[in-house]
Amino acid sequence: MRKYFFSSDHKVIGLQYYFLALVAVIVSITLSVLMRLRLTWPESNWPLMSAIFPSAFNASGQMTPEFYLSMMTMHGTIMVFFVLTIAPQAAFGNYFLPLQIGASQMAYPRLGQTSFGLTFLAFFLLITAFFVTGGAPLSGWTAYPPLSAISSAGPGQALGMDIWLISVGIFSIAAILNSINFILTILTKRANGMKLMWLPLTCWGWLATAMISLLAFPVLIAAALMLFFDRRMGTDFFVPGGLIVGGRLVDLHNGTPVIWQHLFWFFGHPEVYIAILPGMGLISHLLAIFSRKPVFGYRTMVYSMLAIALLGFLVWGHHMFVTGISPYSSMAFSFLTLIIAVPSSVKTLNWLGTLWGGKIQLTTPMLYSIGFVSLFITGGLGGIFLGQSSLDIYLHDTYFVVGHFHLIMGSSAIFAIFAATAFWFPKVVGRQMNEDLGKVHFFLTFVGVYAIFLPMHFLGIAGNPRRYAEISEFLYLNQLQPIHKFITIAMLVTVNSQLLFLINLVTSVFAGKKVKENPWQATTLEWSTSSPPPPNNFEGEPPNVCRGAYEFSIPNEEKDFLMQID
Amino acid sequence: MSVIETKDKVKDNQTTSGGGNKANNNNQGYGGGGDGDKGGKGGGKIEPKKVTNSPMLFVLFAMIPITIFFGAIVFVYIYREISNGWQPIKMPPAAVSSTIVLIISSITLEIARKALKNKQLERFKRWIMISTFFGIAFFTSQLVAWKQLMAKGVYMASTNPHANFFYMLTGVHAVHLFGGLIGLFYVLLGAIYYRFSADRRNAVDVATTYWHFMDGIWIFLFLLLFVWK
Repeated sequence: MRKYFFSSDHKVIGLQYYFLALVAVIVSITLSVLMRLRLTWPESNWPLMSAIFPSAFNASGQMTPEFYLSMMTMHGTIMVFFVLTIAPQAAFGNYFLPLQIGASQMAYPRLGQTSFGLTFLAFFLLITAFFVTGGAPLSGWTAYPPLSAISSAGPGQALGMDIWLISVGIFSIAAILNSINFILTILTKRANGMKLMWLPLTCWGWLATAMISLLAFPVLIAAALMLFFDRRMGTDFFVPGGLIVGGRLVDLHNGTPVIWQHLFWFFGHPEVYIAILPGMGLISHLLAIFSRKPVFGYRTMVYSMLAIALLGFLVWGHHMFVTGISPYSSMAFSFLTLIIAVPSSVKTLNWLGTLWGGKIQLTTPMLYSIGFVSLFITGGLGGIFLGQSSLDIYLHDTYFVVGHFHLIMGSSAIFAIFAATAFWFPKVVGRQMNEDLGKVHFFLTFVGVYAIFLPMHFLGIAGNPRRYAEISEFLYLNQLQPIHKFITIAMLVTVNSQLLFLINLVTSVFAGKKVKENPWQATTLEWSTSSPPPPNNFEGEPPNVCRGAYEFSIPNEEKDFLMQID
Repeated sequence: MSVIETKDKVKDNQTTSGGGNKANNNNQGYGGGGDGDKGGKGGGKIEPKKVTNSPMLFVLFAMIPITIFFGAIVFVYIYREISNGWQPIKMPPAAVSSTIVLIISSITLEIARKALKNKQLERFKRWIMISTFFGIAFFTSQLVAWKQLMAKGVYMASTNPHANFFYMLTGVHAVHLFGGLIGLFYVLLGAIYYRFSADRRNAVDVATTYWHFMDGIWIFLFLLLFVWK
């Protein structure tokens, strides 16, 4: 009990985070399946669902649009916070950061335990929002006021919205504590001889992400607190004057709702990089290992990661082109946004440079990594369109945006999680995941993800707005229904093929192929200790690092790799 | 003086038998410790370089998000100040006394810290008591300021942004300062029972630093709320 639930061992905390993310992703995917079904077959009846949530269905048994919106809100919130934020950073980071830098534990073990506890509490609270009076909130994961500030704006906007705000606040505190722990671990706990420029790129990814979290989450807390005060303490920050909700004039106010958007996106845009930067670090790492080549341009990789982290704070305005901000600031934000393409292209070029001429081994983690690069490029190309204010005015709030961010932020980061799982599974369990099953899963998911999200770009260009529970009311959208059907069927196939991954994950724990401590012939410190690692990570002497992380295929050497401790 | 050394030795004897690493961590960055410190270094084993597990680093890093948190609210404050509906509220007299009390508490805390460094334990105990008293006095004075404003009919629930911000900023500042007050109480209890282990002495530094930091934030907020136009 003590060992697995209330441990301050970083490895246990990492696994706890991983399983929390797994539960969250299952809940969240279920929500998106229900949403797609509602969108594609609006007339269908849901006997089982209406037994659980009677208020979410009308008299003839159809799901209400309000319930669709609350599912959409919860899908976004759970995915962004409890999957994309915690799985790449907190789960794998907590487990492997100390191992990779040669430390016996994190700098503040109990702080790690506290942040997991708070994260778990936040998730539990968020789920309860479904079961309180009125149900979950409807205002999307962005919670734009004034609708999110007024309890009468919708069924979930009363108690559900309060719970949402409290949950997000607690989550943010946990994320800040976790990032302080990460930064100080990297700065103070490195093994003897480990220079910063010898760190594996995974660690650089975690460091950059921790720095962003430290600077971005406080702004979200401030915004959530002010919104909460608006709702419960009678302050007047975000609700504008002359507002009519549900046909009635809201009492006298003179707040400015656009301020919320400034605060939210000042956090929200860096949040995108919080989800993707650990993946970038990891993919750089894996591509080098499975090409048996040093990372092409290690230093530029590090600097471009830091550049992305910095630029991420300067571009929040590109989410607000249609809110009536000055066209001049739109232009500035547009310009800065497109500048991010430079460090991103540097990274892509370096990934391809790492692959170029390497002895490529197409193992499962490598396939997921290549999938990541592909999705990142495709999603990034969509970003070039959205980053320009002139095009964004048309494409904003259409399915183009949905397709874009699901490709670049959602699917890429999820592919990085798959890659990390397959890659580090032998270290955690001592057995390998099934390669054949993994490859089948990769191909189904890879094709499936494109089949789902590429057509959404066309829907967006055709003018299909997002967040609509059904489109059959609109003449010009009716002809798009076949594309929606295609997407939904592709989605059902893809979601079901995730069962392969789950089966593989569970059965490999008991029946996977047993492997030695370094099955991938990797160079970093975690592969020099036993699998699973002992409680203090390294038996005997602490490791002594004498070279960089990517010493592959060195001329005139017997082995094609040198460990960092050799 | 003698008290410090005996306490240290007791602690170090415990730690040498347990993990030798921990004693080193806690003494890091604190020059004035007794000579018992060297006992913990576990027989020539290669130590990871620069092991600084000090709570001080944590507090220093925690100041970054706290600053940004207040910065975000101040950003909205400045943004709203130029919009309509802004009616400057009159400064409640207690706000001045709050400021003075908080500055005094920072000064007395610094005297206490110096006293501990020079190993004047009685003097340290006296000044830490005075500081805690002024710390509590600040909270009382803030409550009086709220009461004074409410007596004039200025409430948090209003459409005047300045009133909104006054209550919100003083409130969140008080919540953050409360953490500092807990730190002072921890130090005070140690002083009362003459516990001066390396951990406890480190705690004095940490609590003092955090208190000065929140003091600085209050002075900034005070200037923003009532002086800066």
